[in-house]
Amino acid sequence: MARFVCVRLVQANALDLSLFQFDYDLTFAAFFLNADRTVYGRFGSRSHHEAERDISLAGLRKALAAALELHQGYPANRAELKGKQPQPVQFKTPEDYPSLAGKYAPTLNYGPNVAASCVHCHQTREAERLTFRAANKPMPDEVIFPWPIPTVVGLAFDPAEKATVREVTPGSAAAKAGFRPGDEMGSLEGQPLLSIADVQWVLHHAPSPATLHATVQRAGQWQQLTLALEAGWRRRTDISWRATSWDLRRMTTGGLVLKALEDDARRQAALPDSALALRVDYVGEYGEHAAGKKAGFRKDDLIVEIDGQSQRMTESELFGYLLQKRMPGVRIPATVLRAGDRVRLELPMQ
Amino acid sequence: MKAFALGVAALIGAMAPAGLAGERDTKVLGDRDTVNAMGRWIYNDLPKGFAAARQSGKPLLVVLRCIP
Repeated sequence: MARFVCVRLVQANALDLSLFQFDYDLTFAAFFLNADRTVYGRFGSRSHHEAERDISLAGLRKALAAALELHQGYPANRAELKGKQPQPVQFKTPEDYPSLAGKYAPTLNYGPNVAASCVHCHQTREAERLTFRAANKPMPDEVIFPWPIPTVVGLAFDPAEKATVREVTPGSAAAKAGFRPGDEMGSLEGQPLLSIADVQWVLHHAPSPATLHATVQRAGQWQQLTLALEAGWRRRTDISWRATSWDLRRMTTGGLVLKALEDDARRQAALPDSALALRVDYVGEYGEHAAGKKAGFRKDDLIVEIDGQSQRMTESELFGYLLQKRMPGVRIPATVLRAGDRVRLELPMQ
Repeated sequence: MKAFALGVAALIGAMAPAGLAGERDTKVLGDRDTVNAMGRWIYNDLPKGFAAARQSGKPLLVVLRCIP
């Protein structure tokens, strides 16, 4: 680390979003940069409520070493870094978003209420989503399902390495492409990879459907693999762990937290595998997060039909459906199983 | 390696879930004091970091950390 200039930012206040583009649900993220703002790579991944499960010090150390190699090769390697550079943004800082404008100073107030003066990174994603919702516009997939974890394409990476495949899901896009456990992914879409976050950067910007080209090192030999992703591929991403999903629940479920019914419980309820079965795990109590409660939903209600949809889906998939199909102000019909009875309710969209 | 691990562990540290508002304030204030005491890090001052990188020829490591 002595070979780097080390900067620590603990606020998103006035954060330059034209440079710092990462998964804003993270509580720890790192950038490796040249002084001319060229991005060498990113670090920091998360797929679960446990913030540290997908990162490790060993992985960070290897990413740092790889960043130094890119720095030594710069600017001769500028062309291969092109795809890693930030994309144009509509708002330069979080406070430029309409929902955050005028609420925060550009620096922290290091007084007794310092935490309240902090713009959190996740507020950036929430503010972006509000621009769609406030305008009654469907949210694009990439806004609802940002920074897909590679497991959505069938790849699980070793957190102790840069981008080494630990598992390949049978039948997945990765399996069909020929990936194997132990493959060291050197590049994706021509971009050198320092970390799992760099893989996610490519996925985040990948179209739907997509064809992505990878190089992998296997038994000392480099190979080229092609990852074919079908239309709507990112909608299988689990976003339930994300802090920003709290606001999606306000918008779509009126504050209800929904859990997919376990297979055993599904069988006990005589529900087929293909049927919708989302159990109300938590009922919000305050403000717009109490809209579900006010509409009559109760903890442990089992939602088996909503807005005419009765096919199996996760809470995340339900978010996606409602955020793209139903705008604020409408009420959608839902049927729940409660103590053996079918109860019809209406859920307000917000 | 030990120095690296200690340095990064301190930076990643304080990953406990957010508590009461007062605890969050204490964590934010404590983070600044702890990291500044380490001496290696430029704290919450990105322009200073870029200036140091231009002067030294070193790359930047920018860590974004949500404390509370």
